[in-house]
Amino acid sequence: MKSYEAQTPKLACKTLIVNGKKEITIEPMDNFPVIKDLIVDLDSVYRKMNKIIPRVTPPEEVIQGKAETRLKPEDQKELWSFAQCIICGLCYSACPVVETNKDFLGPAVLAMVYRFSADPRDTLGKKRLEIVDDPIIGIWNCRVAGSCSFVCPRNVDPSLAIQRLKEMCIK
Amino acid sequence: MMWFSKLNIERLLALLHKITGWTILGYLIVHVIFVNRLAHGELTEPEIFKYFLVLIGSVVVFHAMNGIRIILIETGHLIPKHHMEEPWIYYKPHRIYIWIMIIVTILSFFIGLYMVIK
Repeated sequence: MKSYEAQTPKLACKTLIVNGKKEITIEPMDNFPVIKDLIVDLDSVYRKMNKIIPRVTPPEEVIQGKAETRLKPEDQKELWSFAQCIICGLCYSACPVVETNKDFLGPAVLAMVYRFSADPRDTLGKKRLEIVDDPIIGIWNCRVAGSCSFVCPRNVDPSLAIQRLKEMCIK
Repeated sequence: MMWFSKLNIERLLALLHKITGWTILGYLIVHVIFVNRLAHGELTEPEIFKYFLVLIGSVVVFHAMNGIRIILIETGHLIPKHHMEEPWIYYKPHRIYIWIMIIVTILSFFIGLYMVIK
């Protein structure tokens, strides 16, 4: 569920009711089918997540234990920020593109794509980029509204991840 | 209605980009028909049309500058190199570009208006 504090959408569990000065509206998140009362169905997000192979896939030698890939501290620090997503769905609720295009992979999933594609230990980056380069479900539907980053309770910055993916696709 | 909720300015810019894009397309279609009718002597150009052109000029300037902003973002020129403490939309060069864009759009309107009145 989401709450509106000063007309800004937030997660209800992240909204502090301090002294009751501000008016707080609690309602189910937008862009999701409502199951009951304030409960929404997040299945669409999980289905989209499955499309992008949401796991690090190291080279065969590493799986067999013959080689080792290392993550530099600076890469780890950068990727950690994008890995903080709790899949709460608030970015989907705020995204104006998801509102009109239900097939759009959406901010959280695309942030996940960037998180795995930018990981130097991963080997499926190219395959994931081919998936998100799609004109209907992919990154090019993003209108750079930035609302996903604005509302994200974990400061994942999905919009930045999407712009980085666009940059990677162009290159 | 999601477009109108009180969020960040980039959301409004995205909405305006869409509106101005359709406006320019509509203008181009009307322009071709209008010029054709003018050439055949079936219409005369009204005086108020000049002021309308000033407005269209500003719409084109906004649409072009916002388009350049999006291209710069998508090619990585207007986004931070590292993840920031706050959303990237607050990245200083990006903010400066938005303010320049707003100022240039307003200026273009007044310059156009001055040229028409003069």
